[in-house]
Amino acid sequence: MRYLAALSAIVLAALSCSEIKEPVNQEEEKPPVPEIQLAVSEVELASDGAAVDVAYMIENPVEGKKISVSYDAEWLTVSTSKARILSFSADLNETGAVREAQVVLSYEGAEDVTVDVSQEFFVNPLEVSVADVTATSVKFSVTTSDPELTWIPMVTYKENFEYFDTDEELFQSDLEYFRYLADIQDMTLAEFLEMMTAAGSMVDVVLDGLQPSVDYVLYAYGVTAEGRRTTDIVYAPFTTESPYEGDITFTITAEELDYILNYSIVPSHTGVPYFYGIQPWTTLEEWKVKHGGNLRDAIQAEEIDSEVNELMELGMISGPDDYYIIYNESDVMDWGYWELKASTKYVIYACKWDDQCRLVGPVSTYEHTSQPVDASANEITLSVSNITQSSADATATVTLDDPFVVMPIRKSEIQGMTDDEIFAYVTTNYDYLVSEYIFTGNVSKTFTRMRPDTEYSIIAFGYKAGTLTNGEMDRVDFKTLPAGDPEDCTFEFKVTADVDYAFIEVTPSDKGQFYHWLVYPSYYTNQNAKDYVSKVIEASYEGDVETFSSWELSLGDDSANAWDLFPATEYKVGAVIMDYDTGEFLTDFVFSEPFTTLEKTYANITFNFEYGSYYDLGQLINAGQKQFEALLKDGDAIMPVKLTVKGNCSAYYYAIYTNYTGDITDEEEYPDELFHAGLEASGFTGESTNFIVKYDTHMTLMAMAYDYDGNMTKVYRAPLYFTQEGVSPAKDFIASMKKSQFMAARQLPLHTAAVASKSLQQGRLDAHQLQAKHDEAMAKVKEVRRERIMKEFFVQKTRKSKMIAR
Amino acid sequence: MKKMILALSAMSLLLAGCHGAVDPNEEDNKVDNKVDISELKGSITLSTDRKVIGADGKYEAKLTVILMDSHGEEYDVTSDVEIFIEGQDTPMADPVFKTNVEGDYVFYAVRGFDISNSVSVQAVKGVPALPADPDAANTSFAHRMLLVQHTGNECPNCPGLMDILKRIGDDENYASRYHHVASHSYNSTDDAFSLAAQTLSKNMDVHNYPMLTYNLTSASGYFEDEVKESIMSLSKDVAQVGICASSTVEDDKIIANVAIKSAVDSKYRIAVWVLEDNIHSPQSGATASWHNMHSNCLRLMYGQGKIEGIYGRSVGLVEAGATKDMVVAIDWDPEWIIQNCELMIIVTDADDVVELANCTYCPAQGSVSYNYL
Repeated sequence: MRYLAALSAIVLAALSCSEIKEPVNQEEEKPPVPEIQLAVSEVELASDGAAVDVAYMIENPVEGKKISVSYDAEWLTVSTSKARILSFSADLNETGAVREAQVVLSYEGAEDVTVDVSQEFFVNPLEVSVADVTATSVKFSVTTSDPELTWIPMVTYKENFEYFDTDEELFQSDLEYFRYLADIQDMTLAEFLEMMTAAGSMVDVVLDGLQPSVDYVLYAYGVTAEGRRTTDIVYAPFTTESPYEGDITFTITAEELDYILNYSIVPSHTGVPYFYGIQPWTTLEEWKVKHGGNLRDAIQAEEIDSEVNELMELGMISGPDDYYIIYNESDVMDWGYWELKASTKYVIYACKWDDQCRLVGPVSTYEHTSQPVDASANEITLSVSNITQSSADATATVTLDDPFVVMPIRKSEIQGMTDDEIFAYVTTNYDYLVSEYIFTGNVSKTFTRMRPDTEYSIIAFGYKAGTLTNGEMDRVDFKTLPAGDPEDCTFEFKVTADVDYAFIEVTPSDKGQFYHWLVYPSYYTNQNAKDYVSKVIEASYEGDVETFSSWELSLGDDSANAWDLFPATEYKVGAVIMDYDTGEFLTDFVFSEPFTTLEKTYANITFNFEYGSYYDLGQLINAGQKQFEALLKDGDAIMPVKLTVKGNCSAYYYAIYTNYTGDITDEEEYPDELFHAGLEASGFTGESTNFIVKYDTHMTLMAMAYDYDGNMTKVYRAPLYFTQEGVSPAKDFIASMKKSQFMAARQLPLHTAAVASKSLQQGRLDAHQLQAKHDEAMAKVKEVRRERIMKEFFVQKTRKSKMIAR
Repeated sequence: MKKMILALSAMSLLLAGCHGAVDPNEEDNKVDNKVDISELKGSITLSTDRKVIGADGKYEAKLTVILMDSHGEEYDVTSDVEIFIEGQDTPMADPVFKTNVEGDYVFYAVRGFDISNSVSVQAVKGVPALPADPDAANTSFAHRMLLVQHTGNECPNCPGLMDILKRIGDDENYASRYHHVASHSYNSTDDAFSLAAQTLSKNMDVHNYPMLTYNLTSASGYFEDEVKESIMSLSKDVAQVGICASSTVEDDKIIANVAIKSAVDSKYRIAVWVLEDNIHSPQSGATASWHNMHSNCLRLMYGQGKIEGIYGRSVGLVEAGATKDMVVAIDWDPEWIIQNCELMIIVTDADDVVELANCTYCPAQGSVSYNYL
């Protein structure tokens, strides 16, 4: 903005006026004449119309009179609400021409003063151009006229881009989407946009994670952290290349830092699915021997097929396609990480595979030998004290700050072994303990869960990257005190109950007895409880008593939260002494006094769903909506759903669940608790979405919400069943798509997290985010599946660490 | 003695962004006004020494206008400007604002044809009286260092640090030397989580949980011995500044009156944080029932921007033996159980580098007196 009139001239003018105001004599005295004084005669507004304040003065003011303004320009606003200030502002000038207006300032008794106001027209300061396209990525450049302009790039399906009639519709749709992404990442919109936007010109920006052979549009626009669009939307259409069908190779690089190997894999053609892994060279050689020296067959059988079978047996995956979802890569992988053992040769490998996890084509490999470890001169002095029936205190004093291990082991296991043999034994059989018991500096530690009346050794040795570093072990042998008669052992229980969990403290009188404790329904008898524990051993541990005892039996005082209890329900804690080796009950159960969990307060929120019409995906595709082809693997039809909630609602989630054996509206059979985590983690939070549904399958629409006091609702359930005969005309949906952003979600299978339901919403997502969301979803799937193994029982005790009880 | 990593130069820049280029409380801003200020030319900046005053006709917010000329020299031109309250037609008679009417007041100044920035002052009812000072001449104060525990209820290793803090807290030799704040920033599903905690932990450069940071620096520790050692080395036998405060809850606001008394000439900042006790949030990895109950949980840091929020708002130079006071008005969140809330008042020495000078708890509905030795 410029103020063209000079301040000095105005001041001089004002001075001269005040001089002539001096009365010459009484007869000629006249009332002083008011005068409007202004520092400028022209005001230039920026093209975005940001306000410009200009100060004015009234010389010889008249009490009660105010300045007024008049102008003939609808685009302009001049405010006089602030004393001595004129505030000029305007809308964004998108007319393509400079706008001009004259503002007349008036004050009673004074001559009018005119201010010329102009506003430059808005020039789009942003250009975008595509430089290169592969099967999965686009490389582009953005040029800005203002180096500080912040902008965001987006990629969407061509059809989707064309659905929006105006830039503003598209932007508002994006804005809603950004708010959703910010919300699920616990960020404000401003924080999210600050993270996602770039400033000034950039060349060779790459967006990846795209699908091969698809028509896309790259577009970009200026946007502030507050979510205000500052430029028109500029765009460039492009089509990704077809997926490469021949063999592919990989460029593998790796870097070792302190026995951590960071590696990356770059496929010769992105967009082609591949599997990768890393193993010690000796392991691969052993595998190859079994498979006639063929590396690909060896990896297929010994790693992929073996893991698939193992995970299927554990119930963690349903088949190779699940394994493929978890482990497949199709783009550059640059986050490889592996902890190395010293002086060991490793092989990183990658090979193209199909969606049934069958390796095809050549295997690319990269060999890396880790650094040797320097010997340590650390002298470790070990002492043992406070030996009880189940524990002992070990103290290690050292001369250097080099890492070392202190750990207990039963003496009989290492009887007659040399130090090297003991090292090999413990690092092979108890590697999980070795990594847990690495220390530096002097250390004192109490080791627990030892058996009574048993000989143990506590050993200490220098250790780094799988290597014995100080040549010899320090070792102290001792025998734990004997336990008493199991029948003489009594238990004290302390219970702090909440709505759906309770904190349990169990104190046995004899610290040398292994016992099992759990929370039981209050009506359970001694026999009920014994039957249950026996069933756990058989059903969950397949009769493996050693594993059961290691995970489930307690020794000495114990405490933990017992989760997943039902509200307002009576329970009791039961403990029984068991033989660690045979799983035999050595006593009857001892039960605590019954306790009752607290009443649950439900949120007073109601759900009003609008749905019913659904549209056949095949018909939509035939009608030219090619973007739906990717959804065919998830279902048959698309069903729009709109939700309105009433009440003091702070958050809500909804999803469609599938159960192939019938609907899941029976609360007794399928209690609410089964769905809380899944709905919160993967349910939808917007007012409307489009679900991908299947024909001839029982499904259930489910929802839950929280109020502002943190109370949740009962889970809303509505059974759904679709047939091909019941579809609505595809053209109706196509027409509706023009009015709303396309989002589609597939149904959630019962008892598992939504794998990629949200990724399907990401038709117009920054591809980097898409990859990140995919990774996040995969990590969650792995976590949920791992958790499932641990949550087999209707009353779940907190998982105990696997301790040394052998 | 560990110093803040925040250098003064950086702080000055940030302050400029917060409330103008000049701190009204900085005595150094007193300028040589022997020059004829009516002849000076340059940009003008309006500031106030108080953001909040009591609406009792007695509390005064002093408004100051500083002119910066083309050489970067600053001059107090308050007497040569017209200061307006937004919405009023006539300028203020003098640059001191007091009122009996609650509300938010916006001020701006005009000098000739130059316009200043706007500043706001909030007038509130019910400012509690400070506790009486039983020994006004005394400047020997007990010192507390500050431990910030960065944690979260889904952090499985956090009970380990909770145990360490409990053991240390049970030992009066250590407990008498520090105050504790829990910054639940690990997971947002924690009932004790707050955006303030997230901001604080981020600024303390916390990436691993659990973690303890000391005296608002990124200096951190986790192991019991090093925590104890840090408490002993960072706490002082004597504090250079004492703190007294009163706080009350009026409708939807916590209104606190905070005063500091200095033993030395020094510039200070005062930070006021809201903490909440007894937040029940089931703790992952809990080995004791008390692990599920969380106290001293940071809910809010008062101030404009993270610098004011964490390190406090400047009250300028306080001469040896003198006091300065500050009123704050905090909108309290209805999700907080106000009976369980308290304030953590932190005084930082804003000289060359920002260093924690002292801190104290004050009940949200109560008071705390100077803690003399």
